[in-house]
Amino acid sequence: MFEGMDDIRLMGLVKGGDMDAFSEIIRRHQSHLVNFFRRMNAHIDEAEACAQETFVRLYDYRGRYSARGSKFTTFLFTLARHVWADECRRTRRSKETVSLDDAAPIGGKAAAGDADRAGVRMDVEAALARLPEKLREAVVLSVCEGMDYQEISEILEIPLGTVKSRMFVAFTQMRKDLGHGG
Amino acid sequence: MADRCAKAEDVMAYLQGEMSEADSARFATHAASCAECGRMLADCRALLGDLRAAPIQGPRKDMAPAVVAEIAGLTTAARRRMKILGVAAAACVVVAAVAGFVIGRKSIDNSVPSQTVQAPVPEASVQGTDAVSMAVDWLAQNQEKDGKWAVGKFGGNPQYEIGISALAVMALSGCEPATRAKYAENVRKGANFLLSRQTPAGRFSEDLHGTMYNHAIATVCLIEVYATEKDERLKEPIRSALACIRRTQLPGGGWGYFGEVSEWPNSAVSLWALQALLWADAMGFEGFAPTLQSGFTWLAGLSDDRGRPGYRSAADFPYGAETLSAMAAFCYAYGGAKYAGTPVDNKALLGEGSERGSSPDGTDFYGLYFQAYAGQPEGGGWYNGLAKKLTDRQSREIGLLGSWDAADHWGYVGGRVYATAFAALILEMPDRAPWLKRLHR
Repeated sequence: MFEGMDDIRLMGLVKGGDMDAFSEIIRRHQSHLVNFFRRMNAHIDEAEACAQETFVRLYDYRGRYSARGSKFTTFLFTLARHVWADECRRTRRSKETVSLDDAAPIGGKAAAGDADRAGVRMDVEAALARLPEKLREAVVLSVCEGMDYQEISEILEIPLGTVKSRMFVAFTQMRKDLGHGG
Repeated sequence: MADRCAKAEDVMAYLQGEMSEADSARFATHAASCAECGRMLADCRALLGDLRAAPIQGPRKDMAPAVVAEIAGLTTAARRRMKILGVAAAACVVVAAVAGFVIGRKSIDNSVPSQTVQAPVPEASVQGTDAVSMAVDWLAQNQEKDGKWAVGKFGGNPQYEIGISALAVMALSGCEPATRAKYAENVRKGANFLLSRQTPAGRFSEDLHGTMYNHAIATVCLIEVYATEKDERLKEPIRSALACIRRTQLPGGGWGYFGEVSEWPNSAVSLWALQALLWADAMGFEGFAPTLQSGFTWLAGLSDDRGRPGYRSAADFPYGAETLSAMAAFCYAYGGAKYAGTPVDNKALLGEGSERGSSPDGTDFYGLYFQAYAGQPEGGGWYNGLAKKLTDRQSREIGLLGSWDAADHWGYVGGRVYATAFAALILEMPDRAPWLKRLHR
């Protein structure tokens, strides 16, 4: 029904109360939103609940979205980031630290290897999970969600140069974490 | 830190295309002569490739009904906090149907039934070849006008639309000859969609997550269509796709997710690439034997004494050994044995009898496809049991009749189209495996 219709046009329909159009928006973006929260170290139940809350807020704030203002995904992920901040406050979760269990790679077992192996291979996903929140959210938006630096700077409300430096520091830190260079 | 090259800070912007062309060229020239930047570049490129290749973790179920229900005031955030998604998902479907009524609109997603009424299908008709007929009917009915399957509509990740559409075409093309004619137009449209997505460099996909999966599966699909339909216009695109696979083989002999030289190879993608080359070999496309040889030599290097290939290195099984072993056995069974350095024992690779298989309940569509085909072509008790379990799970609900719920490890990536295509291919095995064997003779 909405084949070929872009998100901006769909949001126009949503503003008019079209719930079929809103369902289409949800289906287009639900995987990326849940993935975003998972990469921010939410467990699956929490990630789904946060994604649902994000969509509810998107509906509540549909009148504020302007196609001339920014890309739709910028608007959506700005909401998602605020939902995550609220969730961290609600659960009093430390945003800067993560337990070893939480840092296990998503979607599979931690590739710890056996104790005999020379040098335990740390998984790249675990290294991402161990990054401080500010660095992790830049990497998640950039690499996992495929956004460009400009869009990330708008979502995180930081200058473009800061996105660039956070990406560099994040990768330097992961590289060090994985035993490459220092 | 004091002696770090100041230009190293540009490495990520360079790798992610965030520089102007002129700055990018300047950085590339610098990195070629600066040891620090060269090392950074290689390490970060590999890290980037690995992170991009990490699977997207989507929701376990379509979220639209639950969100719409909440907006309609039929559920509350407090209930959601009580893991309503996990515990009461079935209730959400019913609630969504009510919400749809309240809001006065119907669901647009065929993957989620708006009601739980079952179609009046006689038990006897959901057996044997009827199950295949219903499955391919569902696939045909849900093909888009341009020939693809919009996997996002059915709970899958659109980034894999090419590969999953290719699997659906294989299922339609692989059904028994008398039925195949019925779907000839669907197969033609599906092949046209794949051709429309081929770049001038021969690749069937843009630089997305899992590019090489899409590319290799599309190549296998087109070779099968070429073999069955004798469609000569496919020959050059296939040759170009194969050249792309040859070009993206990494120096050690394997392939990575993106087909880039800086990647770490892995057996999951490489076994699809090898499959495409084996199919090409069988169909008389010449010039790929050295690529196959080095690919299988690489594979042997990361295999254990039972021949089970690790994911990135020997004994590396982050998702278990069964599926990778079955994929290897599949390649050995269909033309790969002659490239193996030592004789291969597929029985040892697959395990024995009823113990064989990563999912005895018949839900790991991906792994079971390779296991079914790598075993004896005539099937046998294990296969018959699997076929029964699959047909028992085939949907009989209105709108979903003949399809399968993607309730397996990879369902969140592939969705209903993936599950249905693989299930149909598994059930087509008694006809299709002997045909594949003849192809590779």
